[in-house]
Amino acid sequence: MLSTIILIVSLVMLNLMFAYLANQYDMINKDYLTNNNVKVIHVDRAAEGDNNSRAIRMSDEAEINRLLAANGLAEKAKAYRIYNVPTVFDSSMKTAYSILGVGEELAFLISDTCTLKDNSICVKEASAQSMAIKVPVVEMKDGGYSSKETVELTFKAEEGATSENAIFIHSIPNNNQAYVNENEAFHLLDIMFQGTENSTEYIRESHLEKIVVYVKDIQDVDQVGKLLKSNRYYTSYTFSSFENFSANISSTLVMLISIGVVFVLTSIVTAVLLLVNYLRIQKKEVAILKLNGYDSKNISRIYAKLVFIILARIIILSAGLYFLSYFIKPLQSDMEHLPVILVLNLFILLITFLTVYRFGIRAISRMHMMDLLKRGKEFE
Amino acid sequence: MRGVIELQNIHKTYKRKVLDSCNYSFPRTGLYAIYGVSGSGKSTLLNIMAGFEKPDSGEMRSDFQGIEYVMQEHMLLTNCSLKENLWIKLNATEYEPSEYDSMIQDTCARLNIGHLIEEKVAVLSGGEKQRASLARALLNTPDVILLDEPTASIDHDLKSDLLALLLNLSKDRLLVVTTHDPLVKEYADITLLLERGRFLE
Repeated sequence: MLSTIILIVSLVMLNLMFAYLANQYDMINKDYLTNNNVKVIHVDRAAEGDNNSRAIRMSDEAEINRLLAANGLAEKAKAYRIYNVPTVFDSSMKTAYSILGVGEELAFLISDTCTLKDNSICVKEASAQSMAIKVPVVEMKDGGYSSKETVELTFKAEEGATSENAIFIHSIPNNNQAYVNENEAFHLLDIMFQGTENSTEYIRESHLEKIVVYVKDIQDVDQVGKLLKSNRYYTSYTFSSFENFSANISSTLVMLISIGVVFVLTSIVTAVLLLVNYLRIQKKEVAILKLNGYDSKNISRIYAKLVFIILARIIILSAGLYFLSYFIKPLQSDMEHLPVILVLNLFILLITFLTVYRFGIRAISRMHMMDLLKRGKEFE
Repeated sequence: MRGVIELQNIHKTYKRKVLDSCNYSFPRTGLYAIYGVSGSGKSTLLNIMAGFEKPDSGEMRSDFQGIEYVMQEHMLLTNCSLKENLWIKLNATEYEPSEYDSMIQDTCARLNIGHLIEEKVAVLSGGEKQRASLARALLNTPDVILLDEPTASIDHDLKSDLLALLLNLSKDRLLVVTTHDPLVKEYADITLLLERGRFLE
């Protein structure tokens, strides 16, 4: 009875601890590991000479990718250009959109539903499958820009662009932000500035917003960030001020997993020891079965069934107590992890059962009658 | 073979010599009482006859269908009823489960414990537990029943009843009883004295 209570308490503790560790892991996973915001390094200027700086250039994309390749990071990170297309309007001329030209490979940073294929535009909400926009044609007038005419273009509309994504460092108060790929951005700029005397190259260069470097694994962000800094690029990324952030995340994960493994192993060892001890005090009962004509195989089967039932009841009870803890205010356990906890408990049940069967049940059922009686008396 | 069990030059030594050239031939029926002081080897001899222990040398030849051993300490599951204990015994035999109830009823009635069938073993008296153990031994209709100190834990008044019962049972099987109790001599067909590891009849 005492063994059963100890086992139930230790399993409930394990379940609560596992839920806590799982929550911690989820938090790290959500905030860091799968959060693209922390994997993007924004580059908008570069140092020039001793005290000067310059705007980022289109050629810097190739330069950064060359740097990454030279440092063995070509597979781990890649630079992309982001263009800013000045205001365009919807067909009614009532809503103005800012458009960003983003490399097609980075569509996943904007939304799961955006593809950024040619001839498509991604917005927050689309009223139809296609979307017409009016691009103002700019002309030089009195040393400034003005526009009297527009060119209407129709795009395939994709929706789901969130107001906050990894492309931006800051939040956007209004969400009239639209996204197209690099080719479409060039096309829009060409239409928009066809009336000016500026060269295409100049127009494109002057509308380069920044370069973003996407790092696949958070653990490499520090290294890529430091590489860019050491090559005179102005960088901005979420954890640039944190010392050895990637290493800390790794060690936190290792620690969480280690604590979990230690708890699981401790539970298994406790369960095995208590059950083997329970079997030791069953020696007289085993002797009675042998005296009644049961052979080792039959006895082993009887006790395997008994131990399995005990373990199953303990597991069900501890899982039930975990479920009840959901309603206890200070605990309020997370039900999201209940299936994983059940799987974990089943794993513990299986390993405990196999260990007890191997080192307890088989041994006791094979013991000689006289040994069972002699040792059995020690417990009376 | 002359008897149902023949002991030939049985030797058994633990820290000291317990059985030393022990010879005897037990016939098919009768109540045999083995006397001896504590440590004379009575229980060791029964263990060898039951097959729980092997002699260091010598041979035990046997010709029986079944042997049952009723130990001094009742070997019953105390949290189970008498019926459940007997059911567990029958479950290890080749009898059909449909026969169990009638077999249990008949055997218990024969030993005057029919009214205790549903009782938990824990609440039975020493004499009742002894009869319950005997009932379990009888279920398998053995040729030989070995009993270690069967009267040790029962009141004087009940001893005679039990011994009369054993005598009755010994008419069609061999009963070998180890004992210190002088009353057993009055009922036994043959009394054997075990001294220095061998029999003195």
